[in-house]
Parts: sequence; C-alpha cells; structure tokens
Amino acid sequence: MAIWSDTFLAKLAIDAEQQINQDLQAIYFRFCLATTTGTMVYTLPDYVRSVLRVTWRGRGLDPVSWEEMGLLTPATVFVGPGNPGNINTVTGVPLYYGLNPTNPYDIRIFPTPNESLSASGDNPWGPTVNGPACIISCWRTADTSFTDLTLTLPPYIDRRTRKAWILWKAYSAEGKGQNSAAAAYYEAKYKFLIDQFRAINEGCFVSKKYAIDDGTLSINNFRYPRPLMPPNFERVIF
Amino acid sequence: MSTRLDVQNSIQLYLNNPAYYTTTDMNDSIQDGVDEICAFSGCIWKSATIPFVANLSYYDMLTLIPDYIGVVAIFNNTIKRWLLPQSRRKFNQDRIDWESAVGVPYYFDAVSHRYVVIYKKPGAANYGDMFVFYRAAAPTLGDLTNIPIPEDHITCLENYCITDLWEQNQEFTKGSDRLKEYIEDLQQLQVYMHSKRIPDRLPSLK
Repeated sequence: MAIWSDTFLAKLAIDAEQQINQDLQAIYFRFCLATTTGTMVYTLPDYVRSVLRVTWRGRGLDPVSWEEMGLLTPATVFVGPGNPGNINTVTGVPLYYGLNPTNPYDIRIFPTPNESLSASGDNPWGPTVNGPACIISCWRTADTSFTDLTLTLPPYIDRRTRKAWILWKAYSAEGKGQNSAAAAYYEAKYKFLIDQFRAINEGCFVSKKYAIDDGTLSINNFRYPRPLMPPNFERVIF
Repeated sequence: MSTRLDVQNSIQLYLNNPAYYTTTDMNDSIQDGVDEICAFSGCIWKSATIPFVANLSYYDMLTLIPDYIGVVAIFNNTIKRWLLPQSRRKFNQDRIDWESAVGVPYYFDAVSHRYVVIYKKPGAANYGDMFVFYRAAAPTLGDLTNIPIPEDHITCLENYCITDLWEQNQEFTKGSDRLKEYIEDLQQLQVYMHSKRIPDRLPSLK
C-alpha cells in the first residue's frame, strides 16, 4: 500500500511549482493590457508576480510609488470601480504608472488613457513602432496545469527540483510516512538546486562587461565575454 | 572519455553488488547526473544558426534551440559583427521605445533562462542569420556515448549517482554525506570551466 495518496502528491506537485516561483523569479512574460478611455485603474491578471516594465504605444512609462503618484496629481483619486467619489481630471497620453492601494493587482496609469487599446493590439514579443497596445512585462507564476511548457521551469531543472520539494514536504507531513531525517535531506537538496538554478537564471551566462568607460576608449580594454555579476547587481554608468 | 558503461561499472564496483540495482536504475541516475552537472557547470558549448525575424525583439531560445541553457555570445552574420551584451536599462536610456525600434541589431541582453532580446531589430523579412554560441544541455546517453564531462571530474558524476541510488533506498545518512562530496566536486568543476581554462591570461582590474 502506498505511503502517500496520488491526490496528496499531485497537490504537492502544484505547490512545489509555486514555491519555486517564490524562491526565484524565473518565468518572464509579456502581454497587452486592454485599456479604456477615461479609466485610470486596471486590475492585472493574478498570475502577475512583479511588474518589470509598462509601455504605451511602445514608449516606456516611468514607475512611481503611490505617494509619488499623489504628488503628481494631487486633485485626483480612485476609490474603487464605479465609485462616485472617484475624481479623474487629467486625461492624455500616459507617462507614469504605479500600483494602487485598492488591490495588490491594481495598477494606475497616469495621465488617464485617452484611447482604448485592446488585449491583442500588438505582438508583445515584437512590438511595432507606435503599435496600439499597452504592453506589460512581468515575472509571472508557473502554469500549474503544466500544459504550456513556456510557462514552466526548463526541463533540465524542473523535475528534480520539484521532486526534492515534494519529498521534503511529504516526509514532513503527519502520518506513517513521516521521517525527519529524510525531510532534512530533501530540504538541503532542494535549497542546493534552487541556488544553482538561480545562478543560471539570474545571469551567470550573461556575458556582460562592466568598465569605467564604454569599452571603446582603449584598444586593450577588450576581453572575451565571460560570466560576471548577475543583472540585479547592475551598475548604471552615465 | 568515459562512457555510460564505464560509469556504470565503476558504481557497481563501489557498491560491491552488481545485481542490487537494475541497469535501468543505474542508467536513469547517470542520465539525471549528466543533465544536472552539465546544466550547472556549463561544460558543453555549442553554436546554432538562428534567422532574424522581422520585427521580433524577444527570441524564445529554449524553443528555437531545445538544448539551450544560456547564451555566451551572438554574432550578426549579416553585418559580420558581434552583438554586444548590454542591459535593458541602457537600451531604455538610448530610446524609451527601444523594443519597437527598427534598425541594425548591435546589442543583446539575456532576459531569463528562456528569452534573449536584441536591440535594434530588423524591420523587414530575410534580414539574415545570427550565430548563437551557448551553453548546452546534456545529450541523451547510450551505453557507448562519451560523457561530456572532463575526465578528471568524472567522480562528480559518480558521486551524484551514488547519492541518488542511496536516496532511492532511503539511506539518507549515507546519501547526505555523499551529497556534500558531490556538491564540492561540482563547485570544483564550475571553477574549472569558468576561470581555469586559460590560466596563462590573468584577469585584470580594467
């Protein structure tokens, strides 16, 4: 007789994918957000984990905090959809975006869009010049149905990492399969695999070269591309 | 170079019981080990020719090149120049609408394990090809396939397999000890692949 039921293991398999998503941002995604003339706040799909960039007809919008948004437009307010207290006086081509305190997935675009754009207005992976779309780049959660392979972890890491997490949690669970030593073993293994994949995903193979100049000032300033610091350590040099 | 059969024999000798684990168990472990070690150490380098697509900024490399792990370099074969690795923040400083800008591709950035973005992008079809140099995933092994791991680091694979086999047998204490050895071996291989291939050329602070 099996120690764990298939239902229990299937649930852990889904949880594992989501836990991996929490432990590292791995799935990059872009989509067109449908906008409506005169509507300033939109609710993003709940698969969005963090917003990386928003473009309006191809041009990037500047991210601002909610407080900065208040300073930019002190006389406007969004209380909730259809709320009579909403005040929206600035309409035009959007320049800024920020997350709104009405909902973790609410995004406010300012100035309020002056045109309606559809969710299929442009190709988010190859936008055209002045293409009619509001495109959002984000890290997203995995596809828990495992049908779209572009929305899951890559095959060289996925199975083993999920397996380690599932067994860690299964051996920790109450019942006849409980085994602390085994749980500790799989916990260590999971953390090791996550660290390794983080190194791959966050840029150890990106052949970036940092220099005081732009790399063209001296002829001997060249070196072959090699792994360097991941992009979250990026230095901006003006 | 060692073959899968060599590694299998070596593990059987170590475990002192050639019949306890089936050949299938052994082969599955060896395949898993090679997959993981090659992915984490980047010890397989390959190149592929990918056509530029009109108006496409983001290339799904993992779909275009099934054994793709990470980009090393890209050569624009149309203008005979290397694409320079650069960050998206720099692209944005250059043009706020950089993703839609059409022009000669001179730069690229690796977005994730799957996507690479180029800047700028060709606006018309049949622009030409790029040569992508990349770290590759391990091949599917047969008994006589040469294992693409440097011979002096093959113990890394053996340690992985022994850990895996003990794990299957719920020998977690032994497995934990061997896992530590495997991790140490893997780190040595990573250091070797990343910075000890050409010790004659010293890194500088430039």
